This record gives sequence, C-alpha cells and structure tokens, in this order.
Amino acid sequence: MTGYLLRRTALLIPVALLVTVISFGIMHLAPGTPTDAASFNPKVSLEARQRMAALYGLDKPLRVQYAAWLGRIARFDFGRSFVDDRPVTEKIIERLPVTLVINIASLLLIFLIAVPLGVRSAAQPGGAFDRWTTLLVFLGYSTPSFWLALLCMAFFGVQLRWLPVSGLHSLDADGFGLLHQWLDMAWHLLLPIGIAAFVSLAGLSRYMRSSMIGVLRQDYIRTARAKGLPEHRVLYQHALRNGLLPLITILGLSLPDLIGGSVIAETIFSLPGMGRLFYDAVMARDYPVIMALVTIGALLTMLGNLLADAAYAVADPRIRVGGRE
Amino acid sequence: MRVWRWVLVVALTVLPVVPAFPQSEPVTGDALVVGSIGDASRLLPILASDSASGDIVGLLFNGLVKYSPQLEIVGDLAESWTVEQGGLVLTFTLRPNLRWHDGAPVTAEDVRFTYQKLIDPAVRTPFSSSYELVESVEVPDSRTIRIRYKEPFSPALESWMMGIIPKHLLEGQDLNTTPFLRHPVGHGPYRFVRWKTGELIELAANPDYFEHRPWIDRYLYRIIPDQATMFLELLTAGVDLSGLTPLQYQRQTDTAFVQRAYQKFRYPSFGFTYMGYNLADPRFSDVRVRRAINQAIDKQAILDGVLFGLGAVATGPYPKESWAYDPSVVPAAYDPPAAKALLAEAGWEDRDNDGWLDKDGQPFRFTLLTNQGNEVRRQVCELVQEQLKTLGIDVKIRVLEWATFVHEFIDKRRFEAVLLGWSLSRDPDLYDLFHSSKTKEGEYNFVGYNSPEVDALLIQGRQTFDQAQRQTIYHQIHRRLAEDQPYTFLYVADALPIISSRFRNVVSSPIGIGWNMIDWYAPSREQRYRRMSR
Amino acid sequence: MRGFSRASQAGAMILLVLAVIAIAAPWIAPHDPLRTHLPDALLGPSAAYPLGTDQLGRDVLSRLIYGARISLSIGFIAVGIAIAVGVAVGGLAGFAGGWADAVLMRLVDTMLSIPTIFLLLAIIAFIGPGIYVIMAVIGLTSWMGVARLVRAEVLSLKEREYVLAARAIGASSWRVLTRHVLPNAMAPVIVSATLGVGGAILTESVLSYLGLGVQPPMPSWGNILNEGRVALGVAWWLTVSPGVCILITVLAFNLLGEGIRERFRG
Repeated sequence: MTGYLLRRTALLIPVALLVTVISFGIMHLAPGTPTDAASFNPKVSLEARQRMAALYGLDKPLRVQYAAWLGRIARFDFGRSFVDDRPVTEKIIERLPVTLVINIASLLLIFLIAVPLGVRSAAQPGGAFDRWTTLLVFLGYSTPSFWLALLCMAFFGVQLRWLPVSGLHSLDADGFGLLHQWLDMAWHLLLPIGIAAFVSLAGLSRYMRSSMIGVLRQDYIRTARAKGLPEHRVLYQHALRNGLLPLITILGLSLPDLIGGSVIAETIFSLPGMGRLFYDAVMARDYPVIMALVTIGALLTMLGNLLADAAYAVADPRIRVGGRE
Repeated sequence: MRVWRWVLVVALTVLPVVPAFPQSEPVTGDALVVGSIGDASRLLPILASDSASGDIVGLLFNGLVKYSPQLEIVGDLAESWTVEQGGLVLTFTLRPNLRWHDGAPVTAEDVRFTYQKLIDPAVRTPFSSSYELVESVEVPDSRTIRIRYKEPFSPALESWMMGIIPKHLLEGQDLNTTPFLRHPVGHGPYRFVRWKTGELIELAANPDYFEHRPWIDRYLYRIIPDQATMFLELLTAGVDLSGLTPLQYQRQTDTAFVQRAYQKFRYPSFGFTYMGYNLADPRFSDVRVRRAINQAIDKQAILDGVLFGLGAVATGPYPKESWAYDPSVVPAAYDPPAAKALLAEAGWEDRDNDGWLDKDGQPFRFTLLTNQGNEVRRQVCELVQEQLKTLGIDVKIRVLEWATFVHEFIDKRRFEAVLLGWSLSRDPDLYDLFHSSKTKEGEYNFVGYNSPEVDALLIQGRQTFDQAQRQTIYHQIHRRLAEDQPYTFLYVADALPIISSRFRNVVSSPIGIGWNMIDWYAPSREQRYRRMSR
Repeated sequence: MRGFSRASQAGAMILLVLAVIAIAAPWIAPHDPLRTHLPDALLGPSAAYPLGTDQLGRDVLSRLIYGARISLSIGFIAVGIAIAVGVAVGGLAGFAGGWADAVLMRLVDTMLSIPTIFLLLAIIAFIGPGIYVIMAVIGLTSWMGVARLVRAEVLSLKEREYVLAARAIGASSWRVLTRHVLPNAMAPVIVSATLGVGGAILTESVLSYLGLGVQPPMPSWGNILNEGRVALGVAWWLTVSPGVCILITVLAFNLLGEGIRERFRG
C-alpha cells in the first residue's frame, strides 16, 4: 500500500512534465501568434509584425522556447504575460481570491443544503419528500447554467431590481467602510454563487442520500430505534456521523477544482476570475499565462487523483494494485 | 388686498417663465460610466493596440493635431503648423503653458522622445510604419518641432495625432515593462486614478486642462465582457454610455422608459464590410464574374435585414461623409437576370440542370470564410449564401477563430472568398490595401489586386498635400475600384451609441459624439454619483 | 418496467417521444429550418409560427425539431466514442495489471490534467468548428471517468470464482476479459453513458456560447439559445424555448440514468 503510494508520488513530477510538453505542443499547434490579433490593421506593417514576433522570442525553434520556459519554471519564474507584460504570478494572484471565494462559498452552500436534504430523503426512501427533492436537484443538474443565469439576471436584476446585474463591487465601493465593502461584494456574488450551487446540488445530495441509506440499514441504528430514541436523534446524532465520512473524502477531493473558475459564469457576471484569465489567454495566444495555468492545474489534478486513489484503496480493500497486497 | 393682487399678477407672470430658464449653466460633478467588452492592456499611446487601451489613452494623452467634428485636421497640442517644400518639412508650434498631470511642462522634447520610441526596434510598438519616412526630428526651441521627411507623405499629418509621451518620466526605462503602463501620467482632459484589473478603470477631471476643466468629475470604465449583460446593465443604469447593436437600437430601446432616460445617436462608422475575392483564383480573376456577383447581391436587403437599415450601401471604400467619396459613382442595380447573363458570357451556365452553374464540367462552388465572434457578419454570410443560391452558385460558409483565420488563411492566401470588414482611419490613403506591392505574406493586399493605374494614383495621392488635388485623385480611385470590384463592397454600418439623458451638450457630428466630451455635464439635480473634492 | 421508479419511467417516455420527433423531423416540421424570410423577423408565437421566428425570419419550432436531431446525435456519438475508448483503456488496465495498468492510468492522469477548455479551443481553432469535430472532441475529453470506473469494476471482478474457473480451464485472457469480465462490468458504464449523453448536450450548448459549437445555419439547441441571448428583451421565445428543450432532455437522461443505477444496485 505504501509502496503503491510512493510509486505514484514519484511519478508525479515526470507525468507533470509530460503534461507540460503536450500542452506546449498543443499551444503552438493551434495556429496564430500573440501578435496576430492586435496587429491585423493596415497601420501595422509586415515589418512591424515580424519585429514584434521576434521581440517575444517567437521566431526561435520550439525546443529552444520550451527549454527556456522550463529553465524559468525551475526558478519559479513564470515569465511575463504577452498581453500586458506583467509578471504572470501577479496576474494569477490578482484573480485567485475571487475564484476561491466563489468556489468555497458555493461548496459550503451545497454542503449546507445537500446534507439535510440527503438525510431527510434517506429516512424515507421513495417517500414524497425524497421524490420531490430528487426532482429538484436533478432539475438543477440538467439546467444550462448560463441560461439560468441570464434569466435570473433579467428577472432579479432588471425586473425586480433586487440584485445587481453584474460586477464584483458597486461603483462607489471604495468609499465604503470595510464591513460595507464585504456586504456589497456578498450582494454581488449572491446570484453567481446561488446558481453555481443549485446546478451542482445533485451530486452531493444523492451521494449523501445513498450513504445514509447504507448507514441506516446497520444494526446499531435498529438498536437505537428499538431503544425508543426520537427519529431526529437517530438520524442526526447517530447515523449522520458515519454517513458524513465518505462525504468529507469527496469534499477533500474537490480541492484541486477550487482554483478553477467557470469562464461562462465569469463572463456573464463580469467577474475577474481564473476562468476568464485562462480563456482570454488561450484566445490571445498568451503563452506564458497558458503554460503557467496548465502546469499548476496539472500538478493539482494529479495530486487530487493520487488522494482519490489512496482514499478508495483505503476504503475498498479489493482495489489495491495487483489485486493482492 | 390690492397688494396681494399685485403679488398674484407678478407671480403668475414670473412662474411660467422660471422653468423656461433651463439649468443650462454647466456644473461640475457626477461620473460618466462607460461599458467596455474588453479590458485595457497598456496605457501608453505608442503601445495601445487594443481598442480599450485606445479609449483610455485618448482621454489621458493628446496628439499634436486632431480631427474637428467636421473631419478637418485642427490643432490639438499644436496651436499651428506649416507644410513646406511640398511636404518635405512639417513644422509644429506647441501651445504655451501645456502641463503634464504632475505639473512638468509639455515641451517639444517630449514630441521628439515620442518619435524616437516609435521607431525604436526594441519597443514593441505596432505603429512604427507611419513614421518610417521621417528623416529627422529637430527641436529648435521648447515649443517648435521640425520634422523632415524623405519624401512627401500626406497621411503624415494624421500620424501626428499619436499621443505624446513624457520624456522626463520615461527616459531610460524599458517601455515594454515600465510600471508607467499601469499608472500613466498624461496631459489630457482626464488624469489616471486607478485600475482594478478586469473590473474598472477610473479617471478624474484634470483641472488644468488647456481647453477647460471637463465638467464631469469622473470617468469610470467598466469592463463587462458579455453583450447581453452590457445591455441589461444599461437598462438598470449600471452603465451610462455604451454602443448598441442594430437589433437593440431598433427593437429593444423603444419603451417609454428608455426613451425618457436615454438619448440614442447614429452616425456612419469609418470602415466598411466587404466580400473579398482571391484574385489568383481563375474563377474570380475574370472581372465579369465579380461584376455579376455584385449585381446578384441585394445589399439593401442585407442592410435592412441584418442591420435594420442602420447604415448605408457601400459602392467603394469610403463612406459618403468622406471627402474622398465620389458622388458620381452609382451603385450597381440589384439585377439577377443581368448577373446571370454576364456569368453566361464568362462561360458559366447550368448545362447539366442540377441547379448550379457550371463550366468545364465543374459546378460553381466556393467557400466563404468569416471570423468567429461577429453575429452580424455571420448573418450577412447566410444571406449572401441564399442570394447566390438563387443565382446558381453554391456557397459554403466557414467560420474561423480570428487568430487562425489571419495566420493560416489570410496570410497564406488559402482562401477563395472572405467576408470581412475594414475599420479605417479618416485619411483616405489605401496604399496598404490596394497597391500591387503589398502582397507579401502578412501584408494587407491579400486579394492580390494589381492595377497599374490605381498603383500610380495611390502613390500620387499620398505624396500630394493639396487637398483639391488629392480629392480628384481619390475620386478616381473610388471609380476604378467600383469598376474593378476586387471586393464586393457591401455596406457601411452606423455606430449606435446610447447615453443617459442626464448628460447635456451631447451633440452628434460626422466624427461621432465624443468630440466635445469635456463640455458634457449633468445638472445638479440629476447627478447620480458623488462629487469629487476638487 | 418493474424495478424502475416512476421518475425514471417518465424520463424514458420523454426520450422516446424525443427520438420519434428527431427521426420524423422532415415530416413534422412546419417550415424549412434554413429558409430565411426577413419580413417575418422576430415575430412572436402565432398560428403560422408556433414558437415565433428568429432575427432572419426562420421558424423557431422547425429549428428546434431539427435541432433535436443535431443535439441527440452529438450526444450519442460523443458518448459512444467515450465509452469505446474508456472501456478499452479501463478494461485493459484493470485486467492486465502491472506496468500496463500503471502506464494506462498515467495516461488517464495526463488527459485529466490538461484543461478541457484548452483542448477544445486548441483543437477547434486548428480544425475549425463543425459537428463532427465537436462529437470527436467531446468524446475524446470525457472517456477518462469511464476508464476509471471500468478499471475499478474489472479489478474487483477479476478475483471472482467464475473468472478463476474460466482461467483454470485454459480460456485465453482475451476471452476471459471480453466474455466474462467486461459484460458484468457494464452496469456502471450504462449509467455513465446515459448521464453522459445529457452532459454532452449541455457541453454543446456551452461551446455554442463560446462561439465554438455547431455553426449556423445548421440549428442546434445550443446555437439557437446563443443567437437568442442578445434579443432577450424583445424576443423571449428565442431564449426560453431552446433552454427548456435542453432542460427537459437532459433531465430525462438523468432520471433514466439514475433509475438504471438504482435498478442495478438492487
């Protein structure tokens, strides 16, 4: 078991490197250069375009460019963005908080809603509550989120004027006190977080439900009920503790996704997050930013997969490498 | 009792007149919130290649000259200039007492510094080509700049609308990475306050601006990447000024609320949409084919259908408002039977009765390329496809991502026809688009147009400074292009800005509505945002 | 259909109706979905145009009906590709074990680490958007989950008695894998496939939003929605109807898939 984990960890770096090589290749395979978009303008002569390409180092062979990038990465230098020449690290740190806030907040919201829903449903599988909740969460799961976002924006933002249409802060926010600023930001994020949560409720609540159903079949639950304990104590004090365990694992495994932003949500709600950073970088062929985000994402994903496999291996003794350990 | 009667009479006489005194005295205060799809990237005029950077830079920096609302070149930072030796020498005289936002004086040295950086090979500026014909820039005194050219170059005057950058702050720095790009110091009507990346850029009125302090205290540039969201923000007054799509202008801004709260404007944009042919393709090298297609496309129907009529049919590369536009050029009539006859003359007939024209056994089929992200253009493609179908030509539409489009298809001439638009400067020089020497990979005469007559005219046009002479030359160019049809010129779209009605003094002109932005103001009672302290 | 909840039965019914509509499109659609008729642009629902028209005067209902064909075929083919690749990779990895397993799983890790949007954008930029490209791309970016599922199942099935018995009587590994192991591993795959079709339809609509989906004039629910987005104030039917179609279809697939999962779990 530990041998398996050690081997996986050792492979982490080489595989990450492989991912970067593949990504570098894909990036350059996609036609177009960073200077194309901005410079298709009769005022920009061919010589000017060529000169700019040279200044970005784009005229050197790919191996040389990759080697240069690798050398910088080893020194934790992610280079400068082609779009505005700012250090890539700076751009990432700027965008990370918004994405983290949205992801963590919606995760919490999902947790707070999914757990009670799952528990109640498990208490009476097939009952009315269970069936209606199932329909509701599946509705959320099946809705195109940007469509829902647009409709909510039009209704709550334009029709009712209860919520702001888009953006992260009110325009006069820098004159507010700190608490007021936080509340203002929360008000702006209500819709994005709400929709993100609604759309992802199904996964966690269904898992909670099936986990609880499994727990509720156990003997000690029958004992507790036979002892005459009230149902809600049975559910929430005895069963929940054990039903929650696998859930924690799932939450832990979604850690790498925390830094990923949804480009659709960020575009619709005008939120400057990681999703838009990546999308804009790809469209503008901003190679340094693309490579930085791909590398970080790859490392985190593989870390996440490693933790996932370790957790499953611990949970299910049948799944150990080689069948027998 | 009599006193009260007099009071009543006076009151009744005066009261009706009082509202008639409009609050027409401009007052300071308020903020103008502008919506933009993209964020700026570099706030330095010589590096600002995207439109968002250009918008901001235009408020922070001025050029030596600018366009008047009537599209004439007038002085901006320069109070006067002379053109000597047939255009070989341009001499500008700066206004006195011009100051940077940090108080330092704006001098001719700054102009020379700007030029040096424009042609500096280490600076990543895309705009160097307009300055390549400059031989030298001399600064005899702090207010005079003498520019010598290697040959006369009339578009040069327009090139000096480039924002002037501060030597005292930028000398010795690497312009590609200087922090100035994110904290600029200019001399224009607004000064820089802050930039929250991806969200907002804030500018504040410059109290020492040489014309006068702008009335509107603050300029807030909000980044809203989604068109649909932008419109919703407009409806909730989250944004005061933005551009409308033709659909929004025509159909979504008719409610009583919008009409009361907003003012809409329309004026022709400077540019045109066209279908360009690869003239190396044997089918399109025959001018009869191009003329036939021109007659088979109902441009008015396209204009009405896609743009709701908000524009004008184009007959050449100039909008009607340009002095280079020749009013004697008549647009080809929409005449499908005549088109069919012309194609038959060129050898294209439906000999096998399959609905498509053919020649030498090959049906007339081509792929029309356009770029992704432009709804209007795509709809135009679909209409062209349908109209040519009735003629018997099979058009396939292919939408490509922009960078791919430029790099793989246009630069390498791997296309049959493209549907694109040009956004042009107001100087009518089109050397880069139509001169036969500009056909290398990466250059803009990618259709491959080669006309010795037009070549000569293009060169003449850019070497003459005499306006009347230039007009004759460009009229001729317009006529030749209309006859030769290297492009099928489709239409010139209108720009459709919309602005909150609380702003007074917004006046439309051929150059748009922004020309007198410093004169706009909102009456105190209608202001939405808090005042600035200064 | 015993053992299936009413919800999943409802899902199955909806999908049946949808399939019929999609197949019978040329006969049921009231108008030609590609024919533009500018004088009739942006009309509201009426007798002639039950769900109104779009900006070029095309009938929305007809476009939605043909769009069902496009969206469903994208869903099925993309998932088909994902299943084919996933079962092959996962089955091999689980059954063979050892270094084959290690290599294949690292391949899965690599594919999972490359951001999907990046792959989609790069590939579509290179080849150009189009219905076949989209099917291939969605398929090739979603097989990884199936592979892991199949591998897990195969690993646990590998030690069952009937498998050991088959090997004992000398059946070749290949036969054991394809005849005995894989068929019993299919249950979660079927569930995954059913849910996957819904997911593929949603992905197509996201791609359309980014401008990389099925290209007009060919109608897909995603691109009808995208075109209608900007006309929300004046033509709500352009936004609401394709969204509802997507919602109902994906919901049906999800309910059905869940029902299958419940059924197999017993």
